[in-house]
Amino acid sequence: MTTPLLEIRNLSTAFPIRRGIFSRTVGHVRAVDDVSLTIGRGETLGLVGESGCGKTTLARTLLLLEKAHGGTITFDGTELTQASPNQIRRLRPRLQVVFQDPYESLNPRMTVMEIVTEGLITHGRIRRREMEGTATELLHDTGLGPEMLHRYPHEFSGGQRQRISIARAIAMKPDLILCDEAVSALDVSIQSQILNLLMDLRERHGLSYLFISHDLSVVRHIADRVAVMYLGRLVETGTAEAIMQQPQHPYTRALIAAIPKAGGPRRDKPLRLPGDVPSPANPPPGCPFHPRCAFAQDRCRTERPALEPCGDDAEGDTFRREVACLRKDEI
Amino acid sequence: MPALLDIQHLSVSFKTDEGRVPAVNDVSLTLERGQVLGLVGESGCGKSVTAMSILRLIPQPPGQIDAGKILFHGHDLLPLPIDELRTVRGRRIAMIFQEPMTALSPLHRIGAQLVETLRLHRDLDRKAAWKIATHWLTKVGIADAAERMHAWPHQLSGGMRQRVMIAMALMLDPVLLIADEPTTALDVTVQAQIFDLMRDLMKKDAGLLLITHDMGVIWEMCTHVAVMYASEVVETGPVDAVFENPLHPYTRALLAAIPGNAPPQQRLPAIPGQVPSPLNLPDGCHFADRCPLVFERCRREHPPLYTKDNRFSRCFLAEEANT
Repeated sequence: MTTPLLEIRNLSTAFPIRRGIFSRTVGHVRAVDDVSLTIGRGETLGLVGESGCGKTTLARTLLLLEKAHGGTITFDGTELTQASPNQIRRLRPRLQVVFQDPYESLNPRMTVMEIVTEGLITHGRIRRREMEGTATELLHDTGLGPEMLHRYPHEFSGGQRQRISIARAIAMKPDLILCDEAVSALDVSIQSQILNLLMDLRERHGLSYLFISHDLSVVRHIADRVAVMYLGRLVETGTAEAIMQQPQHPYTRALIAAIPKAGGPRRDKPLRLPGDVPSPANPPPGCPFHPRCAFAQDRCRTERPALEPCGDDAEGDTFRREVACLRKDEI
Repeated sequence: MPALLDIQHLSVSFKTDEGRVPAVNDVSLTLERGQVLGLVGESGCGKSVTAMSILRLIPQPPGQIDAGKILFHGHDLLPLPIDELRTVRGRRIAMIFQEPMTALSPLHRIGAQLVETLRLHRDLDRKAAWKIATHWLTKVGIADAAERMHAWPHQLSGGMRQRVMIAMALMLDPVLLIADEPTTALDVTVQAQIFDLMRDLMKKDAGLLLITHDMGVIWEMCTHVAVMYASEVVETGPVDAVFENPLHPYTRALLAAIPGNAPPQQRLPAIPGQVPSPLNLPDGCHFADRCPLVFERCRREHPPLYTKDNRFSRCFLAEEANT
């Protein structure tokens, strides 16, 4: 078996909670709590969960924008949390990101040409006089015409801006692109254009994606494997098909049941989750999901379930199904 | 008997530096009691402006209602003096907005805002109003309602604030509820809880106008649907009929573009191009440039709404199907 492109082991990221006039640290919010994940070459991993579950913090930690409090991030054989600034500078171009808000993630004072070639210039990969030719190619690759080169971001619609963000990301010839809610702000007709573009580029350039979204139907469409996050922890992983067709964890089940699906069966009162997601600053003891879980028993309130293989998938299979639930074999 | 809500030929425009921009063009919609009418379309198509116009909530100027009637139980709301309209707002017709962050006053506690609303419309003393408000907070699923009455809006999560807004809208027992993307900012599991509350209201024979961009929401919640594109209604009809056999090519394309409906990993049937700018709408059909079935007449002539078995479609193909 080849080594995966990205391997995360027991990663945790915490933010201090400060109180009072001296801003004393009174505790920590564990935004990402003991998460392990792998992404293979050419593979798309979907990461889903509700707001505040830690998806974005996980992405920011991978980009070294947040400090990891524990665990390792191994990218193509290099351990990022221990890497030297030099090593990081060399690896950074291979790990790119596309953000949710195409209105705030592009510099309004730069032309499209400057935006998409900025990284290449910074890393000395092209000279200034090559900018125009390179930018034209990149725009062509993402479905934009050369007449856009000298325009500014405000002249573009949301969908076109997201194409510019994608052109900027692929300019560095990355191995992995983190898409953080990259299509969530777009209308359906534009969203499908961008999803098609991402799938085309993946095929053409052999890219891997970490595709973060709260929208399970989008994730199901583009991802090979899916990881479901709740309160900073992974509760279930498996192939996109397996997760959508046979969700095992009670949270995944409720999440999938809650998606209104056009043309699907209409239920008067489908499986409902009571209450809100608890505050990550004060997570419940035991299984973090137990206060909202219909299957919770006494031991769920005290014992913390680990992510463990589940079902009859072959041992050692990279696509195996993992579930963090004490009662996974009973329910 | 007149319909609960009958919008006739509504046109609304906004004045901008670049001239008058039509936001809503000749929109007609009907909603009966007990029905849920979904108004669906992409950003900028005019669905929110249509909804805001019902209670005359669009800022005038720069906005202006150029033509049309908004009949509520047969009475036109548009010429109504503002103090008479105020007796309709809230009590008869309630509205829930998309942004629960901005719809509540940040300077007043939750309880005070709920009590004020109640006492404005009903003859109640503070104590009685407080009791009713607390009861409604419990009803919309807020834990420790008595305590939350004393909370400030910023102390609540987005989902809780939206539930406060819903309590505020529902506690006056409106006969018409207008909800503009009420769950877009919320997680799906919270969205499901809020839809349950709205279904309860429908059981009391009220009418709901639900504005959304999510076809899945239309399918689960609505009895009827109106699809808007570039300031116009392009198709209306009962939800089952429209989803099974969309008459307008835009509706068909919109339904096909939903990721959940297509086989995974395959290219999605995307709609090429973009929505035309409202400053520069084509003379013919607004969808002509993106339509896979476009023919010569579409670019020359603007299609009217054709009727077919109680359904409407703004497409020349619907006319041909009729003859």
